[in-house]
Amino acid sequence: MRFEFNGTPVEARPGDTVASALYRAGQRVFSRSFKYHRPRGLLCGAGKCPNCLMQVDGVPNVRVCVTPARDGLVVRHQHAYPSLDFDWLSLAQRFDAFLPVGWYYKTFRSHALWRAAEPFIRRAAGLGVVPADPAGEYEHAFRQADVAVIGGGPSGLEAALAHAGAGSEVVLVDDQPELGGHRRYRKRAGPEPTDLIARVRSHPAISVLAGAYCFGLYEGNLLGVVQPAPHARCRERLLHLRAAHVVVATGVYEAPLLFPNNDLVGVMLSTAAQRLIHLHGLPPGKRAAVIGRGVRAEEVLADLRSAGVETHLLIAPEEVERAEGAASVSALRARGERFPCDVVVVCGHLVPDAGLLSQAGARLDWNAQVGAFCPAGLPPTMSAAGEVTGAGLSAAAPLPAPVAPHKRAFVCVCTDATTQDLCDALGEGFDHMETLKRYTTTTMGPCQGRMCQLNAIAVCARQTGRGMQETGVTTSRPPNPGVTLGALAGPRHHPIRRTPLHHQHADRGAVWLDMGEWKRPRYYRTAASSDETTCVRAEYAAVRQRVGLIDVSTLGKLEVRGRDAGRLLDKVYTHRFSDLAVGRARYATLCDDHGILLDDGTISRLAEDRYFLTTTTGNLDFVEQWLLWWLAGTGQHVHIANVTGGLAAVNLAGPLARDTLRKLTALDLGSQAFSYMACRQAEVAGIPAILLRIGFVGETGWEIHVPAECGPDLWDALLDAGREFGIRPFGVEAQRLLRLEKKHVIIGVDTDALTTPYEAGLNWVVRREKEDFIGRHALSGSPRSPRRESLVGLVVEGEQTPEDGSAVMINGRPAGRVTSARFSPHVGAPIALAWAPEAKAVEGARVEVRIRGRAVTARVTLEAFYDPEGARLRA
Amino acid sequence: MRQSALHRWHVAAQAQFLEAAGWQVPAHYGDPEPEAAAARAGAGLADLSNLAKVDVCATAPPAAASATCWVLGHRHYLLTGPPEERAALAEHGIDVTSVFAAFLLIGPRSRDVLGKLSSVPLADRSFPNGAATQTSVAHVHTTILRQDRRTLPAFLLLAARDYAGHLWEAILHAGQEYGLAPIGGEAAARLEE
Repeated sequence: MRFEFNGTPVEARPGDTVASALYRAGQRVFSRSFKYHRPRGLLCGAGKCPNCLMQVDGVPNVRVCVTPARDGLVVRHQHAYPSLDFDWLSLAQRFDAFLPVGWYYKTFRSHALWRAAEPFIRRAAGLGVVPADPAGEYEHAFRQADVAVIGGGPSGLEAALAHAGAGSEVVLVDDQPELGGHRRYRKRAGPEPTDLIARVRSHPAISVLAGAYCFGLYEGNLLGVVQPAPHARCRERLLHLRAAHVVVATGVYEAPLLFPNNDLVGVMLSTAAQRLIHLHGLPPGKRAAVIGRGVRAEEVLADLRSAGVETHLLIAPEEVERAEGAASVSALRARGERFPCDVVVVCGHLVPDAGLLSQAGARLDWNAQVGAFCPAGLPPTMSAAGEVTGAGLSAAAPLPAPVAPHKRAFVCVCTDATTQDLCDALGEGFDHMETLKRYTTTTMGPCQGRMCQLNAIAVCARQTGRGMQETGVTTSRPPNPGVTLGALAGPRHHPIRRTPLHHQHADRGAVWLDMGEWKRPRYYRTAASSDETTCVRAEYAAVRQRVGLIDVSTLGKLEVRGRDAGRLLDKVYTHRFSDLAVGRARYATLCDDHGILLDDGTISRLAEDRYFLTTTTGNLDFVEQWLLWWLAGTGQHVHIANVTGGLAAVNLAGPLARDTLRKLTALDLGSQAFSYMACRQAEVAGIPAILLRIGFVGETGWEIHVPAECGPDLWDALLDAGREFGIRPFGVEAQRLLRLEKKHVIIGVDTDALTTPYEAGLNWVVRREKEDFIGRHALSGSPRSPRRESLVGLVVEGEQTPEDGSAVMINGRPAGRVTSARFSPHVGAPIALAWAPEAKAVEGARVEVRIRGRAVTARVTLEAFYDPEGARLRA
Repeated sequence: MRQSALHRWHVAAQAQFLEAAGWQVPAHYGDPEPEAAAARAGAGLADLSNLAKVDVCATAPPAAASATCWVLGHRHYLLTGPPEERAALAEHGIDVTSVFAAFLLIGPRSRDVLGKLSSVPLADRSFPNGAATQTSVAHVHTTILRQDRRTLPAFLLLAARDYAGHLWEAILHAGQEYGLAPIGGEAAARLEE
């Protein structure tokens, strides 16, 4: 197995992490610190500290001490210039007098100064580089369990077996590649639980997720679990694990002790040394000084000796004066002596890993005897097992200990906050743990307080004279450890809605327009031209002069059936529908209680108890819910079904539409027999269809709805039939122009969240004499009563078409806005729909429209620009 | 000829078609035997969009011998049945055969595949054979109906036809790690035997 580190190949053995393979290859400096760019080496070896963050396969801030080594990985250092062993920015520590705690707040009092300095600071202090195009995929998965056990040590294994034995489905999550917890590397603490592991592995009700880490607990016992590389194609999978009960058996982690130069390369925690020895067969150095006392320290000493490391006698924590060395440690000074060594092994504080419990609302109480904050007051859906409860622990060193402020005794290795910094901050008045945290950024770095929290509390407690309990812990929040944004974002699921005629459009060179999730043809390229203006103009001409065909399948379609269907529609829509004759259709608008226009469409009566509704494309879901809401509890017999996807719909329009359609149906299409706003059910090209004689584009036309699976056949048949008449499919862009010439309003485009039907010029759709309908009270006044403004037509002088949203000006002041504008071939000038003050809503009035900064004169018109009498529509 | 929303996809995947109740449906994509084997070992996905579907609003479940009746909600039922029964079943309510694409996700790993696209609990205990639910699958509103075939767990997924392409591809993508294969009608029939 071989991977690449900064361009050079590194050999790895099975079971190696990236960090252990690098250590074996002689690498000692793994990162550079955040502020002073001091060299840093392996500290915790367990993914709890920030010292080994590297860029792996392009992903920044990967904890390489818990990343299994794999063939072909590309690993790079981050945050060191030019290299880990020599970093120019380490000069920063020479100027530490100018970098006091709260440096940002003290230095950048002017915004301009910060703006000038920010790019440099970001580059010097940033963590890694975000890849432009990360390789691999991210996935989400969902899983439910009766019990989730977090932690695969002896207590976790026992808890899993106990719950499974009681008939529960159990999921066991462990962040190590193998189960066993600390027994895998603390050989002298007890035998490896091989029997428990075998029983867990073979139990049918227990599933084991090894090598996966849980980063947080959310409402309803939802656990966020990241599984790195669950299968070949996938980089990370985020598992949403919901469990009725959660057992936290996360054990303890080790936190450093405070002494000058406690961050030198070669100063490592005892568990890191034990992991190197027992998991990777690597002696951490040649000569070690061990700081610690009691059974644990003896155990570490024995491990080091058996690994062939020469050791001094144990040094108690209080006896330590400082570590010495330029980049790497060369000696430890204690009890007035100098102990030469290349590695200092620190038996640090053992901290219960109770983050998940705290997130669930558990308290953390200080227990001086075990030297730890222990969880208490667990919610009934959680329990704790093993060392995380504090059971069996003993204090590594008494806390709070006397503090000697020192500029090189690091409390927070993530952000280089020292005991000096903390004492200065306390002196400046930040004497509450939470303000101290925010001011010094201690506990806010990548390790999220794992390395520094206990020491910071101890310093705070000592300096303020308060106790540990009174000083208290900072709030634990997920995610901890950090999660990649890719894992949180998950897979790229962008649902696409395709109409039943999608492939027909694609075959004809459609240029797509995204409308919400729908794909609609904006216009069709032809052999002659692919230019939008040319194509749209040709499509427009076909509809006005011959015949055109557009896919309107995206319209929302609802079937409303039952003996009370008419009553429900009378209640919800502003017009009356209970008196609509079978075989007729009516324009329909829908308002809220304030009389604000919400949606429009058509309602046709197919039978006595059967209505067919269309809604605008974007409002279908709302209209369906709105109808169901107003139906609920009324006891009315109404059945509402959303049939949008089930019907392909086209609009065949133009002076030759009748000639085209006549070839495909036996229906009498004469203007008397099938008049404007009539509806029929008949076969078209042998396909059962609903035909509506309506005209959004202002020409003789039919909206034809057929079963979706027959849509392509209908489309082809209509184009075949219309070929002799010069038929042409047209897209949304041509449709928008055609309807604008007719001044047909699009709800939500030409109207806004305050528009009433009266303001939009739709007085006729409101049946004020109806006994009740939604919005009646608000709309009960006269349509002519004073209004905010009116939607008017504008004919703009000159060649330039205003953009949608351009300001309407009166006497140089903004007084309205353009909602839709296009160049009208019929008028020969740009036309627009616009909101204008009531005083200007007069035929022939003059206003100005601002087009690209210039004021251009426009004339108000209240009539449709095209065929105001509607003669063509009704022909 | 009536075609499913995925017709072009089936053509591109070299499907051999057969005709059923006026619909063209994929019989197999070359050889039904490996398709059935994939479904037995991992998971299979079949396009059954021609399945007759009728939305029923009634005080009691409708009596329709040729159909399966699913309870979707209070006084809300769904009938599914063979394509040739479509007209007869439509008597009971509103015919939504065209509205929904219908996919059969079948096989021992079918639950794992769905677990990557939907948060709904699908374990035997919470979602046994015959259960129905409406939820989001790959961000698309979907009705999931558990309809096991002999010993194989199987789920019928109904989603608005306009989302068929998106959903089909999302399921195939999610199922790759479990050896999910698209299967035709012949393989689906073999799994019933």
